[in-house]
Amino acid sequence: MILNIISILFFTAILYFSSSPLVFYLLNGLSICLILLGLFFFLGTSIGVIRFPDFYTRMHAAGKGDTLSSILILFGIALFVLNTGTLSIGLVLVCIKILLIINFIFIGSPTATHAIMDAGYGTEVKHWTNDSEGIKKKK
Amino acid sequence: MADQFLVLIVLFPLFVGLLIPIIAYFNKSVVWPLAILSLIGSFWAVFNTATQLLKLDPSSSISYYLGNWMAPFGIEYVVDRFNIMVLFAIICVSLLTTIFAKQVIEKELGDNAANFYSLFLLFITGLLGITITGDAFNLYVLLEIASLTSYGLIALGRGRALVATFNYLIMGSMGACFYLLGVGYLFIKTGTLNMDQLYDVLPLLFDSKAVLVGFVFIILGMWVKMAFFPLHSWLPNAYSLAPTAAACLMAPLMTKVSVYVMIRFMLNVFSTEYVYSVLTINNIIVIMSSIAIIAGSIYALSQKNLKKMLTFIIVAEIGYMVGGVWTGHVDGIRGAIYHITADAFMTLCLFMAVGCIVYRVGNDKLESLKGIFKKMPITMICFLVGGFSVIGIPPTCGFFSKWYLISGAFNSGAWYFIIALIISSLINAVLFFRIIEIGFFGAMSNEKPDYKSLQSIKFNEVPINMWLPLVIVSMILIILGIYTNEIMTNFILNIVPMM
Amino acid sequence: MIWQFDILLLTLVVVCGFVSLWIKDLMGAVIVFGAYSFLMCLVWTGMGAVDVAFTEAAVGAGVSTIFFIATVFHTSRTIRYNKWDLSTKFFSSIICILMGFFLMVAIGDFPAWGDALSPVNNNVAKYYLENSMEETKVPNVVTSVLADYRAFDTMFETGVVFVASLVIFTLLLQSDGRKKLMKSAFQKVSFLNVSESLIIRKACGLMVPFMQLFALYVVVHGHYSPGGGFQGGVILGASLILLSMAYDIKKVFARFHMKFMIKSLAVGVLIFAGIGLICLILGGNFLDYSALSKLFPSMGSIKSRYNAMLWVEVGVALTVMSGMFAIYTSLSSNGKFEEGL
Repeated sequence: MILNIISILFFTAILYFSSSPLVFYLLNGLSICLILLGLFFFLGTSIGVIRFPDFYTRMHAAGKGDTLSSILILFGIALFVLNTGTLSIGLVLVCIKILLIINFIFIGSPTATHAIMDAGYGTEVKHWTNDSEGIKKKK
Repeated sequence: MADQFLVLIVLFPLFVGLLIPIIAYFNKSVVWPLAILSLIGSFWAVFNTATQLLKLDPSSSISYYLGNWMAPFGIEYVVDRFNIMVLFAIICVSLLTTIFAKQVIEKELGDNAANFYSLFLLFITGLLGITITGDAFNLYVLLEIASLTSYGLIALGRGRALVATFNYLIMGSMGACFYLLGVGYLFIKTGTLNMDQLYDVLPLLFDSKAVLVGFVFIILGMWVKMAFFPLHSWLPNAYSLAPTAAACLMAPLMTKVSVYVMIRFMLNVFSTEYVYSVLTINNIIVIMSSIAIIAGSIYALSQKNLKKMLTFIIVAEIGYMVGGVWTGHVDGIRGAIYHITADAFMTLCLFMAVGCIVYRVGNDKLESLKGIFKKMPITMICFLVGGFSVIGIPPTCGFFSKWYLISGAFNSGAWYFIIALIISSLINAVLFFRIIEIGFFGAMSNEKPDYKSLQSIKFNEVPINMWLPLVIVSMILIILGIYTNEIMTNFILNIVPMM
Repeated sequence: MIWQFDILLLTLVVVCGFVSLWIKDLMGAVIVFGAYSFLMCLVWTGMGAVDVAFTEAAVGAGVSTIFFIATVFHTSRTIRYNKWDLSTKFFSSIICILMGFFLMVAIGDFPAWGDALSPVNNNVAKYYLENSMEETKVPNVVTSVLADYRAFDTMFETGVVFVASLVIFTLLLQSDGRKKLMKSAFQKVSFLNVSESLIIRKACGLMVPFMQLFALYVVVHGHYSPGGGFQGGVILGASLILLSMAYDIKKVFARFHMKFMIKSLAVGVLIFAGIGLICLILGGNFLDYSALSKLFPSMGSIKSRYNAMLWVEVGVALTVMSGMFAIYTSLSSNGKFEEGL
């Protein structure tokens, strides 16, 4: 959370003090990289949800991958917004709103995953073991 | 103050309806008097509006701009000689029902009585708003209020009332949704929601498909709401299982107000030219309503339960009104408009009487009516007046509306409609004379009357606040009949444009 | 409006609609229906109707999904068909297709999307866009139309929320005792008290204050940005629902009691209608806010419209908040107001 705010402040400061095109390209490149990385993790999440053998491992993939990738994408978008046009208070405000969204996803998404996991454990959903060769056959 | 009466009509029941849930926490006994007071206030506002309106020349109307925004930009309330009649009918019916309903509500609902009164008043608010508004979307919002409260009111009944409500909810939502879609289509083509402006703009768009679809959907939505024959399936169960007070209020009003909206849209939004000349579907709809009349009457004949029988009579009566309007002749339309008011009071009379019988006897099966004339003479005489009005026996108002309907059908050459009307009158006669037979002689036609058990029955009338409204309603039925000519010349004659 | 994106969205919307009808597991259908609402919200955003999208996100995708789940929880999770059901389903789908066909036929007659010359953009809407700023000083035209030009509609829409909550509350209170709980797949969960988890409680405790702050922001800032009483009220209600899910209903009732809830339900609408009534008493028409300047001479008629709209929004938010919470508590606890989900 704090890291986010510091980094955005850092980038804002860079944009504020230098106006060379190099900074513009660097920040754009960084945001593109972040968004692509986020999309890559999303792909991993989707594959994980489909391919993992049981409820718990699937939730594990969904919970971790989903959170990380949305945070990365949103951070990339925040940088992108900061980089459009001349720097103004309005842009920084939009950035801060996106940061707040990141924070709430950071709290909310793992908690939701935990709640679903807990419910699954409470209702005794069978978990996958080395010798069970998939849940479906056992049922 | 004098120019605020139009909005006060709606505001009295609205405010008291909203206040009741709060007041009921402190004192439950003031709820009923408060409800009565609010309706009296509303009646006073309607009365004053009527006196203002009658001073003006017959074709003019009174407008009220809510929020002081001029007509197409804000919402407009309009009162003309058409809806002042419907307003009178609504407010009289609801006032009489509320006076009537005190014991019934206490007996049937117990702890829920306060919330019931709140819904009851908001339902009346919705109906008054639908009738008085001059804005197509405002009409939808108030239709939603009226529908939602009526779902609640019906669902508070006993037994399978919840299932009946669910059917009604699905059908009613579909009807409201159709209406909204229709209004949306009109809005896309015209850019306005105000009825007067729609009336001015629409003649340029008569060949547009979107306007046609809008018209069809609005009429279809209203048909679902008024339970026109193939779409009637929700009505009998819903109204026969509802609490007595709710049935007494809803059966006379909800369907009639939907008919009013249909006629309003046909005459004052789409013009008569569009409805009768551009579209050529008159005959089909008159045939449909003839079928509705006959089917409703036959269903009514096959019921063994008094309330169920009455609900099917309502279905038949809806056929009268729809058919009368679509005959396309001035007399038919006048008859249908007159029948809105007349039928509201007829249905109220019958349902109130049945409410009294259920209150004393305990159920509403036909066989438990044996000897009822001796036990509850006032109730039964009023019931008979209502019954005679439904059959169409001269001093009562039912005769005159039927007269106009038949004359309209005759002039437009819809002989099947005349036949349907006559068959329905005969069946109604059979129905009510059967009840007289059971009530007087204590036997169905194939049994021997058992005079000994009849002698043991004692006079056991309902409390005065129950029979007095009933007597008033039956008086109104006769008075309406006697003054038909005055009503026609003062109110209805000016609504319907000559064709 | 990027047409490829639109087509993708519309296809997904239609697919979601069909799937939520076909799925036999009602819980799954509810979730798919939530996804449908979310996609519709994207469609609205694409068409520029941000206020509608906001409402759809808050009500359609958010709260109504919870209501559905609460209902499924207490009734039955799967559908059992018999032949009669299937035939009615077939019949009704034919009617639906016919109606859809009629609606589609007329679409060819519509003006093009975004056509500046179409009647919609030239009649009433044009007046609103041109005069709203002068007459009310509210930049967000949607708010000025909702809360001033057509305030009477909005008042009754709030009334609809009031009526709906009151009906559900009354019915479930009445049916308690005579209705048996049906067996459902969820009951196992409810006995285990899953919501005891410390993590969930702490996380909700972190989120709820921010949610409520945001909701108040949405209510107050409706004059300038998308939002207003309905959306803010729904978010406020959702924060209460979240609390009562993380702890239990009693915990929330300690702060916001049932009796108080029903009262505030009525009070919200009464604030709205009461402002209208004050206008009427001061000599204007009903809901003519400019009459309020007689009470506060320093404001002037335009400023008083602006301020009255704010109070009206507060009334709407109050009703919607307590309405949402009342519906949730009645549905989830089956009218007993003890445990909840």
